Amino acid sequence: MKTIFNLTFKSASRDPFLLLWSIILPIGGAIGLGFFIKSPDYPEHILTGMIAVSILFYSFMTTSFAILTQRRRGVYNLLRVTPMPLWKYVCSISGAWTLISFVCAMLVLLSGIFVLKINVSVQSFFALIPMIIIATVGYVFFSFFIASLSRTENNVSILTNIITMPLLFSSSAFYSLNNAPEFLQTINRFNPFQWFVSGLRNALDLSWVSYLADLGLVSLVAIVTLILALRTFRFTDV
Amino acid sequence: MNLIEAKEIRKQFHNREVVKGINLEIRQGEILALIGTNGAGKSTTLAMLLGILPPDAGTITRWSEDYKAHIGVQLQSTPFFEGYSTEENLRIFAALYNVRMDKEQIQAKLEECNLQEARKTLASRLSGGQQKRLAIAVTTLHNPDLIILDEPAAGLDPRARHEVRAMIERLAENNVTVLFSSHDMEEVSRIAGRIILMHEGLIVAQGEPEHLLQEYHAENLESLYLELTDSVEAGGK
Repeated sequence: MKTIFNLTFKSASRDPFLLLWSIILPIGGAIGLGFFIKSPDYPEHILTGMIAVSILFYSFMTTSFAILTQRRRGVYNLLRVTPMPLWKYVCSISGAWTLISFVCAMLVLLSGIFVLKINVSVQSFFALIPMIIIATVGYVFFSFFIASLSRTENNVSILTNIITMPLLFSSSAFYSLNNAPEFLQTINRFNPFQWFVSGLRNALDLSWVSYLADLGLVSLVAIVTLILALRTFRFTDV
Repeated sequence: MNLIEAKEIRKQFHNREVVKGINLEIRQGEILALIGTNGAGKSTTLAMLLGILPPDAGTITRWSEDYKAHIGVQLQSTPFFEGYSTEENLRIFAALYNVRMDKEQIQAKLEECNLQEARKTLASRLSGGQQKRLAIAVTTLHNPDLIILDEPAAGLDPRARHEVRAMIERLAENNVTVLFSSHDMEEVSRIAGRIILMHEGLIVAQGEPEHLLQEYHAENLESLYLELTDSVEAGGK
């Protein structure tokens, strides 16, 4: 498991999409918008939003493509004739992807601490860790589900965009929805991505009750996506 | 001793029977070729022998409960891990078989398949011949008792075919049992000790190449194959 974890981590960290979508774009967005929008609360608002975006882009979008590619190349089929149980392999690659996502999130967080001068307490930092890990694992499971529904890269591209864009734009990741129409606020309350964004904000603000509620909801999403991934997993396209 | 024995195995997809109740065995130490045109049922038969596909009917007996730890497999699509170099692919496949390889062992394996220069090259960027050599090298990482190769030389140029053939012959010299599928009769006649001829899901003949040629008074395997498959089709009509 260790070798597969290490090699997956090494290979995935060379992915140019990772650099662009999960590191450069979120850090650039957080710093640019954090300086550009003159509101005392906004730097923290956009920083948490961009951490969530970084994680969503990598652990959901990038991994969906990786899983589809592995299946289409016959990797999962081959696993059936090796002594390595599928669950061990899936745990190894999912663990490596989760670690990469976590590192990306930390890089975005550090950019906020050093450039936007956001104060992150030790308690907040430790509260962020489970929130980031559980959400990431949930998105990785969801990417297995999306890859199972897809036969081609085009399918994955369409499905991930159809899912990601509404999640992003009906959340408060980039902007406040306080003055948004009622229907959008209602959608926002049931948006799983919003639970994650709120969880990150509540971790920074040390609002423990709200934080635990968000952590519970994010964990629920991870359980549901795990069930979807297990129920739909396909070894091969044939 | 038989490593694998299949009795009356059948498989159908979408109401079309692609393997129609065949019997075969893989004997320890032999190089066995499964011959047939595209659609003859070779890959489906191999998939059933490997346990990838369950047969719809019939039984398959294998020599060991944990046979997966003792089989090396090269599937038709040579599934390398995307984004990994040649060396990393060797390491990851070794991990799948619970084998730890140090630098010297990796180097030896790369030399064995003549890929030292391509050590850091992404496996997906290797030429067709290099990919096949790597795929065969991967099958031997855990010193298996049986190696199953699905069309190992398909789509290769003559030089690459020659190199792949030489690798299979080296395996045989080391007393590894090899089962490979092919529709290249020249390749088969050079390296196989026993052959199984498949056509439309049925085994039309099996035995040592020389014996079969004598029995059917055929000049070579190609004419033997054509003769046998023509007679099956004529019988079908």
